[in-house]
Amino acid sequence: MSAPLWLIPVIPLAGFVVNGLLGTRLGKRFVSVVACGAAGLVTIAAYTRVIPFLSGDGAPILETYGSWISVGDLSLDFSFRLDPLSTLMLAFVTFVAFLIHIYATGYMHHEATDGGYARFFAYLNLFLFAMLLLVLAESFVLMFVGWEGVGLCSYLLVGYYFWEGYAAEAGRKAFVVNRIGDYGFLLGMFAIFTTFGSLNYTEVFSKAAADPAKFAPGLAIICFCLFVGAMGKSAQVPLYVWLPDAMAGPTPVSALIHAATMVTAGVYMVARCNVLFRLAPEVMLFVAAIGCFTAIFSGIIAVAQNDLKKVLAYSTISQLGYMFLACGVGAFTIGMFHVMTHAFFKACLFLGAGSVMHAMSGDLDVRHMGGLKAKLPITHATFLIAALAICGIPPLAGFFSKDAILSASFEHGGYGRVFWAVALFTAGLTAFYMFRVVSLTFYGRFRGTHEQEHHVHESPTSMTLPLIVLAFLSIVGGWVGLPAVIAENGNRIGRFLSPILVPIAGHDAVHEALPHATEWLLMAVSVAVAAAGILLAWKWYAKEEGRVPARIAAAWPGLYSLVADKFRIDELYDFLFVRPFEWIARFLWKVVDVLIIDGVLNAGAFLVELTGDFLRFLQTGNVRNYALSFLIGLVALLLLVVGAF
Amino acid sequence: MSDFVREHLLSVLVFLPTAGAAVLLLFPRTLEREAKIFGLAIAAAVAFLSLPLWWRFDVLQKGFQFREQVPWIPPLGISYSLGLDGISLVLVLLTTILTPIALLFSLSHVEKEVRGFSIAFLVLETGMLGSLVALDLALFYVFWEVMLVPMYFIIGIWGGARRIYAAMKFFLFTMAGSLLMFLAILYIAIRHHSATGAWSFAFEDLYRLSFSGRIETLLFVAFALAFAIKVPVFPLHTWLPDAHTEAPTAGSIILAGVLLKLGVYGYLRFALPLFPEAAMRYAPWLGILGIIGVIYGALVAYPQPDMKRLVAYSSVSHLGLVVMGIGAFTTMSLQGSILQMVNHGLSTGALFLLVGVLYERRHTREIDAYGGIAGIVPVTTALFLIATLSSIGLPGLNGFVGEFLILIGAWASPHRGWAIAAATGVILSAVYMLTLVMRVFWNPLKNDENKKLTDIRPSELVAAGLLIVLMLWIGTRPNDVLDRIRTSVESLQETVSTKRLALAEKGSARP
Amino acid sequence: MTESFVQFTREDLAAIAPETALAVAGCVILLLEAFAPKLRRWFASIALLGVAASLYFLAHAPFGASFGGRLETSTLTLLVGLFLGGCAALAILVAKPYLERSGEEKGEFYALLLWGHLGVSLMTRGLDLLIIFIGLETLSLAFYVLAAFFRGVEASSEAGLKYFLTGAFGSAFTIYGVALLFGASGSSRLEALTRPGLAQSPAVAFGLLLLLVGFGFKMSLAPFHAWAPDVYQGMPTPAVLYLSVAPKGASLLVLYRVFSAVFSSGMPDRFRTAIAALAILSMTLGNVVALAQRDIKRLLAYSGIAHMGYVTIALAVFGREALAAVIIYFFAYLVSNAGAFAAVSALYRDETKAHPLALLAGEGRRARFASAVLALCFFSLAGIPATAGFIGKFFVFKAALEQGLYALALIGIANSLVSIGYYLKVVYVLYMREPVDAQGPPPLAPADGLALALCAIGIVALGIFPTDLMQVARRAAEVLPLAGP
Repeated sequence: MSAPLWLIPVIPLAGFVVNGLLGTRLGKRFVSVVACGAAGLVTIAAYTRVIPFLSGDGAPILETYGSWISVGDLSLDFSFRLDPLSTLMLAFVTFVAFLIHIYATGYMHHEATDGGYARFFAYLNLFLFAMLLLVLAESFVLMFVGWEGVGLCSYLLVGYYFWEGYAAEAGRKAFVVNRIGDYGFLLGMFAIFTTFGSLNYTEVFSKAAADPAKFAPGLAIICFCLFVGAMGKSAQVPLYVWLPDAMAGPTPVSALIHAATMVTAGVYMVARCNVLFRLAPEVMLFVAAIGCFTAIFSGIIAVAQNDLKKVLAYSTISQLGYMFLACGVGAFTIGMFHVMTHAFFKACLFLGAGSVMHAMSGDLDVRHMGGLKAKLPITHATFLIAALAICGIPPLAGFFSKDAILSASFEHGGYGRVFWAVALFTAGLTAFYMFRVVSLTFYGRFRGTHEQEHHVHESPTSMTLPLIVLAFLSIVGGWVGLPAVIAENGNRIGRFLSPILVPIAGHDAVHEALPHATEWLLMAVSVAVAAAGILLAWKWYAKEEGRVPARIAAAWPGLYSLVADKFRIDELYDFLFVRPFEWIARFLWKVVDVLIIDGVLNAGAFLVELTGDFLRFLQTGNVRNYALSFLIGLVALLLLVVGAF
Repeated sequence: MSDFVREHLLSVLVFLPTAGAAVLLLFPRTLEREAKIFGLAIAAAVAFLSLPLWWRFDVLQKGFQFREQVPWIPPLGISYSLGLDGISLVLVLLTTILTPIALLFSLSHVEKEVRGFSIAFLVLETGMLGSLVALDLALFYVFWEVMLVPMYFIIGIWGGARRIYAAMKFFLFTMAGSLLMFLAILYIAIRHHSATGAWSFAFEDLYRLSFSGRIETLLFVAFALAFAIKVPVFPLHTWLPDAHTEAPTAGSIILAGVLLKLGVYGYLRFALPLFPEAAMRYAPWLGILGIIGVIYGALVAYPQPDMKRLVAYSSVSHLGLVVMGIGAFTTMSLQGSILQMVNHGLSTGALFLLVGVLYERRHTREIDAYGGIAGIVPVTTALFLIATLSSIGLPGLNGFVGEFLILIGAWASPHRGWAIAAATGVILSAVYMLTLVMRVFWNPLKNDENKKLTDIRPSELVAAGLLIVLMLWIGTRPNDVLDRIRTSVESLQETVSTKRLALAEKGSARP
Repeated sequence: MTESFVQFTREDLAAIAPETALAVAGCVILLLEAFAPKLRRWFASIALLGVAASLYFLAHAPFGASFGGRLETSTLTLLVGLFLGGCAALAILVAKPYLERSGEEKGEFYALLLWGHLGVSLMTRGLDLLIIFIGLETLSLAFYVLAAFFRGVEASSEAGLKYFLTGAFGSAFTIYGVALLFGASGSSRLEALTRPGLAQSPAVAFGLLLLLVGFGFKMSLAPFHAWAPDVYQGMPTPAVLYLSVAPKGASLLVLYRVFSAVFSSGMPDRFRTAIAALAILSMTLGNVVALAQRDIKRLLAYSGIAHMGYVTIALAVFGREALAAVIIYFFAYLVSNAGAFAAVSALYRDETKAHPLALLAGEGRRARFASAVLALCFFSLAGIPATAGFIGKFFVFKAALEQGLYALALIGIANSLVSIGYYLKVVYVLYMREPVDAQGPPPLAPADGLALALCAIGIVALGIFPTDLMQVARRAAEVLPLAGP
């Protein structure tokens, strides 16, 4: 038996409603059962659809449940779509979410019962609902519902510790910056509607694929607008600024929303619209460039951060850059492949960080850690595996996806080679900063306070279990996408996803794959770079306890502080946008509204009153003047009648 | 009896409140609580009686339904004629639902002159419903003006510190516009008389007239001004922040929820069909002013130190979008605008209500007096959050559908730029509303006063909950509403286009 | 002057019966005052009886002209008589408790009121300039005395003096105008003025202007208005109630009669301009200055000046429909303005002192009924729909627009916006201020209550069902030789 598609998002929604309404009354145990139950159920329900689909031919399945909005020639349905893309997302989103729910029951255990706990899990379920809606939607607008829904949950969960000023700020920032992206997304949808007369994937994509000549001209705008939306959601330069702050939320949230699932929605959307993007090469180039720049930019920032979660956040941004680079060079399937593998190891890293934080009683500063390997064996092991995976060390998951991206951009030719070079360097950076934190956290001597040292302990099973599972996935997750050189048609995921790359009439340039020798060479180079990065970090931080970097920092203090301050982009935005906005707002209020508009009106009223007061004095009470006014009046009338005026 | 009600449903709806008010006059002044409850009961009865309109309304039928017509001043062809089309239907229901909600909230909050309060509200409801269903311009004008008096008292007697200034400003602003409209109505009727030899103020008769360019423009301006002030369209909006801020909570709910809509309604019902040529000529101006309203209102809302004032300016922004949608004049934008009027009524009504909940406990509207109270009043916070999300157009809630339709309609219209400009409201609204939420409900809990805050009362919860339910309903099943306004909007469009065609022919016929 | 006044026919006597009744009632009251002061508390009733009787006789008087075409009985005079009688009746109703409170319940008051009323009704019925003038003077004399009714109070006697002086001045204009017309037409009868060619004669034109000034004075049209505020302030409120309504209506009717006689073929534009100028000046000055008033009686005086401006628009329009509008307007003005003065009389304790607005503060919650009616009257005066005042404005402005006097209508509209400023100010004082004087208003006297109730009913009834009055007014308007509509 297989679940209807509508049921899949509805299960967590039910969980949200129950916990939202009753959670505060019924206590933690109940809340955990409901929330995790919902997550578990939805995973099962999802897999009742995923597994059959894997064995199928990959033809999309559409399920429609009535009309939502129908006005004029716009008609939107509640219709869901199961195709390779959504299946892939469905498969790992539900499962990872389930793991993180389990983890959270342990992590949030100390949370006060005064609704905080229930609130958290209610939001978590709500997020799952929105994410699944986003994934399963068949129309842009329905997807947008999920799109903003996940944004909302991100806002709510980032602001979970609302009594902390910075958390409140971070939540608002996350929502507003996402809204900027959504502005683009909205305009993109409008343009799609006016161009294709519909907002359903099937019609839009088939029309575009059938008659590219007709639609191609308009598509540059459309794709650009859509990509602006993706930039917001997936934290690409220049709209990435909200993600680092979003770490103010509880760690499971960072793992689920800000690493594994939500932030990849942008990539998903671009891949979803690959037909449109492929018809807009200039935008493709833009996407690749943005992705590539974001990757290295945030990679550099990550090197100089001391907050464990901040490092992971910037690394997430960097990895998202990789994914967009892949899409930009036309390797959408590879991009999605990286989305999946990244979900595994990045979730694992964040949860590991959470476990460390748990042990360090809330402290995340790597400068206070060190030598935790002994105290946190499981955390250490899993973290190490995930780290190796993200660095792209074979045969771990990261290696296959990242290497595929590198070679894809290499064989793309043109700018592709530049992108490849930058991405390669970034791979080195990644390895360096990851092992910088690994060494600082787990190796060397402990640098924290005594009570911290005394308190340090491995996390409960509810937390370590998900770590182990995710670590395992970080190892094997990549094996579904073995490159051709290793195993002929070992790239199962590529083949599975290939149906989403709808062939476009007279537009499929099948460039022949690289010669095997080159492939091997590229692989070797990337692995070497990664290894170099790891070893350097290991030497500098684990062995020499960071003397060299300290010297470097001392040598170029300006440069160091610039990087450490994240290039002061927030300050720049504050100066460029926030302050002027507030200034203009005040001006319009105080000057235009109060001074000018009301001023004029009140002045008019006042003038009339003044005239009244003045005329009142003509009322002298003196009869002679009254008589005079008679005469004047008569004369005036006379003149009027004889027509003197 | 029930037959009578069935046949004169609109009359019953319009005058039941006044009848109730008359009964209240006989109440001894000592029965304060009873007076409140009686007023609420009447309003609830009206709401209940109005529900059949929803089901009995024939979605496909063009023109007006539930007609009633009785000669009123025969020698002048003025008749008491009521009727309902999709546009008025949704607004009538909005009115009949919001009024009891407002009174339900006041149940536990109005202390002085309770009897007068209920009376004022009931008379106000008569005025609002009357102007929504009147099909005779004289009758419409009577109801239109009658509304002002109770609202003047509501603001002036039960309002805040600067209530007198606000009440006076409200009255004079609105009067200034409607007096011009009064002359225009007279003029049209006279023109009809000289053209046909028969006196009539009936809308169906008068809109057959057509006027030469300059006259039409003047008449249109007279009408449009009256409605623009009510909406309000920038720069005629400055009465609104004062009135909304100083009015008692229930008054703000009705002001924002219904009264503003009457401006848009009047424009759609009368100004457009009567003067299509001028209306279309000035539509771009309308659109531009709408856009200015969207952005201006949002910007000015942001720095407001007073919660109600902030919400009031957000109304300027939202109504600006509605006006823009009407200026764009596409099927989608028009339906979106009408739907958005309902949405705004619900979301802003809820916001004012919840601000009222806080105000009644702390007796201040200063945002800085609050902060971090989400932990103290979780339910209020949750409700306020939902209202906020509806107001900033989060998909899944009602606000999004309206906004989306207006914007996509504008994009599809010749004025694509409008959509681009007005869509910035999506960002701005998030900025000012979420800042409000952050400063009031989030952030550290500094002020000890707030630790004593009590969470929402059952009566308040019911009032707010009802609105929330409606938000969800419209957000997920907007078609229930859209189906009912579709035919009216389409016939409005074709009326305008056919009439313009006729005018064009006449123009070409004349050398 | 061959025909003699001596032999009257029975018809003549029947025709004059209404005025006779008033005269007799007045005398009776005076005699009782002299010989049976105990019956004082019946005076008001007797006065009412007199008014009722005069209305009865008016209703039964034979239609047509009597006294050799000098006194008219027609639908018009009947309707106007009703208007005047109503006004007198309200004044008497209010007067009784008023005089009781001020301890000055003297017969003269009623007698003078009745005789003044007699004069007014003669003005409205006279078809002969002399009759009209006699009516005017009777009215004036009666009210000169009434103005100074409170002998002890300085303000009152000052009011009397002022009214007398300015009144005498005004009458001079009138009589001079009468003389000119007489000279031009060779007869004091109005019908003589219909002779073709007269309309062009400068003497006639000047005469008409003089009448315009004279009767404009009675109507307190600016710039002949200055007496009104001072006199209203000093004069007993019930007398003001009458003086501020009835004579004004009568004067405008007289002007209409005379102008319609001369300009039976339509009013020349220059006259129209002149009259329009008066209207505009009155509206604007009245409203603007009213904003600055702190005393309710003065405020009402200025509001009256403004209202005379509005209604004078209908004289400028000059047509049958316009005359009908005038009649409707005055009925509306009667209920609203008389109601306002009745409320003022009921709300102020010390009659002989000034009537500052501030004293009304918070009365809305103490003297609920009187305040409510006062508010209603002010909304009516402001022309808010569903009240009589709106109907009045409706017809006047309609007439103006039909005649194409758009500017005039626009100015009128602008003015009624200004007027809202002060009408609402009073409502605000009544309902939105806390009471200032501990003493509070006097208890509501039954007579006052009745008067207020009648006015309130009138305002609402007329505001919602104006049809009947409108039709009657239209028929009445046909009496004058006017181009319609």
